[in-house]
Amino acid sequence: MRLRWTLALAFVALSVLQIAVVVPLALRNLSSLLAGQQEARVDQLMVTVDAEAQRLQGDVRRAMDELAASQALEDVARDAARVPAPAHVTTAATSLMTPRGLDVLALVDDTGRTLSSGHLPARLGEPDDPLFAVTKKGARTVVGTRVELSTADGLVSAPALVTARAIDYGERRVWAIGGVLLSEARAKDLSRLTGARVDIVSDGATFASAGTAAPPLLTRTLPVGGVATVRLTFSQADLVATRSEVLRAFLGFAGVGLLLSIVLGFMVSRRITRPVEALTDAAQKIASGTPGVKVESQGASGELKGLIESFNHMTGDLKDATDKLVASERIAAWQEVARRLAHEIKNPLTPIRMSLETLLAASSRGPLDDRFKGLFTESARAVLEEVDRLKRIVDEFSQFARLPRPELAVHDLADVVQPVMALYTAHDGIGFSLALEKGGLVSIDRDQLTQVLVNLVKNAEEAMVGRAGAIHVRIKAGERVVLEVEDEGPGIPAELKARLFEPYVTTKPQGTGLGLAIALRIIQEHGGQLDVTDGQAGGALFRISLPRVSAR
Amino acid sequence: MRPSRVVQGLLSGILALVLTAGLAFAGDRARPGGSLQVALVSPSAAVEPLTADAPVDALRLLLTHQLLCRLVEPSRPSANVLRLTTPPSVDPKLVTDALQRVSTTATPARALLSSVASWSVNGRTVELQLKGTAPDLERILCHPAFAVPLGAFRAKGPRLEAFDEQPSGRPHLDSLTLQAADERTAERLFAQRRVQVVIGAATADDVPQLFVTAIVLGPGLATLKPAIESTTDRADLARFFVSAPAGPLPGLLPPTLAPVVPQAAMARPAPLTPPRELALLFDDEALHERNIAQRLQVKLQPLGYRLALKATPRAQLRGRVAAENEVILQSFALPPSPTGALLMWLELGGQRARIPAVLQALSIAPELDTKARELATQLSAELPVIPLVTRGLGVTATKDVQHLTRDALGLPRLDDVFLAAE
Repeated sequence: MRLRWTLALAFVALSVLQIAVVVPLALRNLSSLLAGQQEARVDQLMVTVDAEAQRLQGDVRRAMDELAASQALEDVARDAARVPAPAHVTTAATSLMTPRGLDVLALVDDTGRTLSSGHLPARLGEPDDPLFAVTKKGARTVVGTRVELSTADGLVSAPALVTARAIDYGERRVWAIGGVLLSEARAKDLSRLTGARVDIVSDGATFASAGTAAPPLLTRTLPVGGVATVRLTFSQADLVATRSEVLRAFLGFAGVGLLLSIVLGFMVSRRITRPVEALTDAAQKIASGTPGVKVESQGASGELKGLIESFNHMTGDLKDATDKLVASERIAAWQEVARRLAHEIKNPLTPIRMSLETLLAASSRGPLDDRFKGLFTESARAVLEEVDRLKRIVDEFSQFARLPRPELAVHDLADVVQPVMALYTAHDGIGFSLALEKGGLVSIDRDQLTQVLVNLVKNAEEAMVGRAGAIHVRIKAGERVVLEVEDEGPGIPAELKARLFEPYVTTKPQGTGLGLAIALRIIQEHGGQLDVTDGQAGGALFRISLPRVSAR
Repeated sequence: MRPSRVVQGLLSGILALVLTAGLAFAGDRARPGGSLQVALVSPSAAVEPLTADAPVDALRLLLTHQLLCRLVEPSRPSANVLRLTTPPSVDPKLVTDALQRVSTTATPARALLSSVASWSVNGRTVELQLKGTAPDLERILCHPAFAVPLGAFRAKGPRLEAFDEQPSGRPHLDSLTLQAADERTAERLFAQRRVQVVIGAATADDVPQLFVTAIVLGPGLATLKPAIESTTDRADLARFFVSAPAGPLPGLLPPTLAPVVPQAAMARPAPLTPPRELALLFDDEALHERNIAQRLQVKLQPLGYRLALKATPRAQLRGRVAAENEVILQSFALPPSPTGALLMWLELGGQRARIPAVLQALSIAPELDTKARELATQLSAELPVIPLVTRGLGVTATKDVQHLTRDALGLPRLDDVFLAAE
């Protein structure tokens, strides 16, 4: 992975880590804070509910005090013993109850028999023991009890807060027992007051409910009068919504921060790594042979700037050293060429000199007889041969030194090789075996490649002089197009293989040693490779490898 | 003393005596015509013969209708024929319409025609072909369900005016002005002399009549009968929850049809476990039924019967057969005949199939009413009905309202009333 990406990812990872640590901590603290506020609010509302329950009991107390002092109730007490009971007695509770805000009112005699019942007229003439038991409690005490009511679904026992008052008329006593039901209306009042769902639970059953509360929920209970429990269910949906809102805001900020850190990370890493990348590119160029590469130090600072300057200084030194090395190598190469050329030229000069000295010696010894003529002819022929050899050496050297640039065109290599090989026929026990795979398109100078092929075939023929066998010419059209020329000669000694393509290296008595050097140079000019290995039959195998091109 | 003075003194004495006597009898003398102001304690407005189940409704009906038994002249030319002869001015079709209405409507009154096979009209006579002897059919036809629209009065706007062509004769009064009111308002109007008669308000003096209220039990509710009998005091029901005059109805026949026989207290059954849920249907317009339903709810719950009260329109209750886990409060009028009352109870109790046998037993009895009372006592234990209370109609009138009599149903007859001369 590139340094720039590594640095950028490191920046992002740091940001993510920061968010992962900070956001949960902040959220937890915030949740605790909000939950605490909610708890405090609920506690306050429970105090309000308790006060409302006290107020309700106070209302019951006052209403019953007022009722006990009323003339209507005195009339009831007066007429209660009449048989049959007058209508104003039997219906008194109904008419007295509602105007005083009471839900429950029973008038009973001192034996517990119901004289009139506002909440359950059907109780008339019957005892109502649970209600009558209220008269045994302390005066003015509001107590919780269960009161039977007639509903469409049956007789139900409802929780109520009631109190009893005695009304005496002479020796006769009538009890007024009244109060309020812990009914749906009360539940609605409390629900309106608190905003919570209110359930009035008595004996494990829910008697009245009002309001709704969306989950999640927080439940509190408050016992009322020992007969019922008011259960308030508060919705914490607002709390959750607030927490979610804050979480969203946090995540939003975190996301923006993350985005910024990514952008900044890339910018910073780019700023840091640009000089390093420039150094890397420069180093690669130098490694690939480009000398004297300089790196711009603009934008770099500190150690990096120093590094670039040192690098530039180093590459400058390296270029100078390389230039000097190349120059010395070139001088050495030319010295070698000159030495070899001198050696090659020197070789023919010796026979020429000896022939001429022989002729001079023969001519000084006597008349130019037939023997001299014969010697002259032989010496002149030898001199001519050596002069020809000198000329050939000079021509080939000239060709090697002034090899023209190839004129490239796309050819199927088989189409180039086939016509050349058609000129060769078997001779002197040497046959030719062709395996030319079509389709190997290469970009070549046809004449130069033909020259290389002819040179390789000629070498093969010379290697097989006096031997029977075949010269194998093959074309393989793979990713690169390969042309192989293999002979069945004696092969090339291992010590010679390494120097075989150097100028003036040859195994042949009449060879100039420039043929393979020229062939190598042509192939290199085509962007290809030429090497030699041992063939399967023990001979030499020359392999030309050229880059394959497309038909276009 | 001179004779002239004696004669003069004697004449003066006679004149004074005559004046004194005239003044003394002035209150009892009929004053023809006049209008009677009546306060009617009734929530109902329009009443049909088949819906006159409450006393006040029956009274309202019979102001403009006539009981069939009063309209026609019955005769029995043979054992299986009852001939009803109408007055000359009356179309016999009114009679056949009444018969048709009762026989084709699903009410307990339908049983009253169980002994009638068919009828035909011959001139002014309607001949009823009977199944057997049809005991006491003449009195049975006094049920308000057979009333025909030929009452003493005819509605004219808010007033009821005397019907001159009434076959039984024009009433003394020229008109009635009815004013619907609740009980308290009616009492106030009466106290202020703004009305002369209050009908339907509770009175202590009147007696309950033939208008009864009973429970009809659904199938499989036989155990409910002892539960109700043992816990529910009918006298308390009548005293506390039904407007007076009202009384307990321990048997199938009200006191006006049969003497009340004290009944032995029934043992209180053990409470049901688990409790049983029942529906108690009652007339949503009848206050006394609502009160009784709540009382039953209070009384039966300790015995394990949880009653769900279902106020139901009267039209849906009439003729309804109690379903499983269902009891129905029914209020209706009985005919002034023990036999007819018995037939209606059989119909109400879903024992219509037993009616022919009962009629047969009655037809051969030497004392019809005695036999009917015996059968009523016997059937009372067998039928899935529980009679509860019987009701009458309270009437309060000023002193100038004279000759306020009662008809066969125990209802006041305003067509007989006249106002005392001033």
